[in-house]
Amino acid sequence: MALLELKKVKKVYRQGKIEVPALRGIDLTVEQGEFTTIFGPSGSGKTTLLNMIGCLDTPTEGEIKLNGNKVSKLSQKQLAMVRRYNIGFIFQAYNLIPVLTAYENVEFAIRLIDHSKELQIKEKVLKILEEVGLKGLENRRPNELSGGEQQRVAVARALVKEPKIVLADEPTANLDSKTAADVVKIMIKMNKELGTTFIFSTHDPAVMKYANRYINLKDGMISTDERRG
Amino acid sequence: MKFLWSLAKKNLSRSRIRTSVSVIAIAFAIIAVVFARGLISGVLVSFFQNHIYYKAGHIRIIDEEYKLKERLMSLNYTVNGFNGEGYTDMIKKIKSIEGVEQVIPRLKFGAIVSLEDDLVGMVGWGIDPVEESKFTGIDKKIVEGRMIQEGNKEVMMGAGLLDKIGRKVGEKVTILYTTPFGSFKGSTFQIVGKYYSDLQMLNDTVFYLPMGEAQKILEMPGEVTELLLITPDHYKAASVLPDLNDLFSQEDKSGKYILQLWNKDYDLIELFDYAIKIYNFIYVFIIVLACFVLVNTLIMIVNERTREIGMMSALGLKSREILYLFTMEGAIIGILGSAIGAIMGGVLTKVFSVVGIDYSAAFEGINTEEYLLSPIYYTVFSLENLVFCFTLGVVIVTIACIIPARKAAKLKPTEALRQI
Repeated sequence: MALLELKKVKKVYRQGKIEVPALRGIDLTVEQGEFTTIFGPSGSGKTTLLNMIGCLDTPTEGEIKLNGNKVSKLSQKQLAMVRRYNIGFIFQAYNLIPVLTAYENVEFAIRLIDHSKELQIKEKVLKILEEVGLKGLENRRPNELSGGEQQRVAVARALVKEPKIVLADEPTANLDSKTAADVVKIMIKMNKELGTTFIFSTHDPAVMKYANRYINLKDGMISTDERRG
Repeated sequence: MKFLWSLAKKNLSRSRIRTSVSVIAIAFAIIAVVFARGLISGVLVSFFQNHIYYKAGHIRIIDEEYKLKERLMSLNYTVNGFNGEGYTDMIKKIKSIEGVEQVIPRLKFGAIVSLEDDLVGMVGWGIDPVEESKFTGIDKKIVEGRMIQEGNKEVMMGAGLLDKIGRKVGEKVTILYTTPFGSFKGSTFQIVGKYYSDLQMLNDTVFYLPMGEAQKILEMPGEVTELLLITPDHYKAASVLPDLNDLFSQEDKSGKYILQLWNKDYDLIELFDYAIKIYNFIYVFIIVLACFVLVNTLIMIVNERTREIGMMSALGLKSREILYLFTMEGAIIGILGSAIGAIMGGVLTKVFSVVGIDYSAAFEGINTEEYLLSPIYYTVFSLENLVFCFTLGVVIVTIACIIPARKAAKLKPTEALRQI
């Protein structure tokens, strides 16, 4: 059974009386452990597609199944629960909570699903922070961290709850090429070690080279879908 | 939920100035409400006390006709006991009722003192000196001389009245009055005491004389104009009414007496009841006004943190949890502001409960004789007031915060994340 299945997914936005189609019928299957990049020009529907996969929005038409469960017709509350337990997000602008330390930002995500004792939570958070290379920086707030470090915190936050799938919308767009490569290498490491499925959108060819599947989106449709290595 | 509460607390440190302004706005509102409630309580306590001491007791027994002629100080409708047997036996029977602590007899009559070119009007109160002192503590207000004693032909006058008639303690005064039979008479009394009261009515118009002397000069043996019943708690005075009514239905064949409860049958007291209800609305209104500052702050916070709300939504926070987070942020401001306001309002109320607020200037030109209004009011400090205002503040602020918090909770994650 595929981890993710999209069948004829369409999304139309309404701007007043005008209908703007963002996705025109996407058929896509993603298996567990794939490291997939979605690329394409601006306005091709990358973010919309990630939003559909991430249960942040529902399609106008079509069907989405996550782990065999249909998620395309769920209520907002049900979608929130699907996101909470199954999906990790990494954003271009990191979106860390500024008043929380690196440790607390990661802890915030796991507290939503894990009601274990303090000590067990602490162990998990410190372990993931160490794995993304932030050992010793746990008590720093976002404004005391570099862009690369902040994005590592965001990666740790997405991974700490061990989601089935991690979605990253242009996660390296705000980073220099070396830092971007470092962050992607961490994602690859996690993909290999934990078997977490990654889907990310990017424009950056230097980052794209690390993926093993490439989906090219054009005008809301998949124009090419290639697997490598 | 615990971590959301912890996050709500931390979020308040994002803009300390903004948080402080909101806290101060709430605190000022609570100070105003604590002080206003303390002051209103003070005014009411003072007014009710004067009303009970000098007008109504806890229950007043009068002749039904006297109620209509009271302003004229009529002596034709008196309390002369059950079936005319005299008021002292009546007092004994009333005192046997459980819950009646004291029965105060008073014989009030109009009088004048003639000066060289003027007549000074006044009101004589025939009293039982021992009972009256025990009830109103009038003996504690004596600033010169002594309390009147039964059996002596003597009077005690208010300081203002003595000034008006130009007499001093130790001197004699001839008082003119009309008996119930219409005879205009005069009697000379020794002035043995001078008391001071900030109650204009008592200080400027009343003189006390022993009950026996009053009845003698007015030719009214065994008669008084009213009996005031005192119970352990004036708010529970009504509890003795059933036994009292039974007694009167058995003993009072004439059916001429009426029983007036201190807070019924008096227009001004009923007016105060309405005023208290209106004041309660005003207290809520004051806090609601302060809430506008907080609601405005929270709306700004929601606008500033739209992307963050989107992120939290993406992490799986439900709308209800986002609502809780923002409501808690407001509630913490409400708790802080209300606590500071309650403490500072309490301090202010405590200070003015000692020093008082002097309304003399405001009362100038107003005849307060009739209304038993004191020119100085003391606020009432009570923990109940502080707890009530604190709770009111927290509840209203928290409810007000739901408006911006709902705005945050209703944001669609995709739209929130798009926000720059």
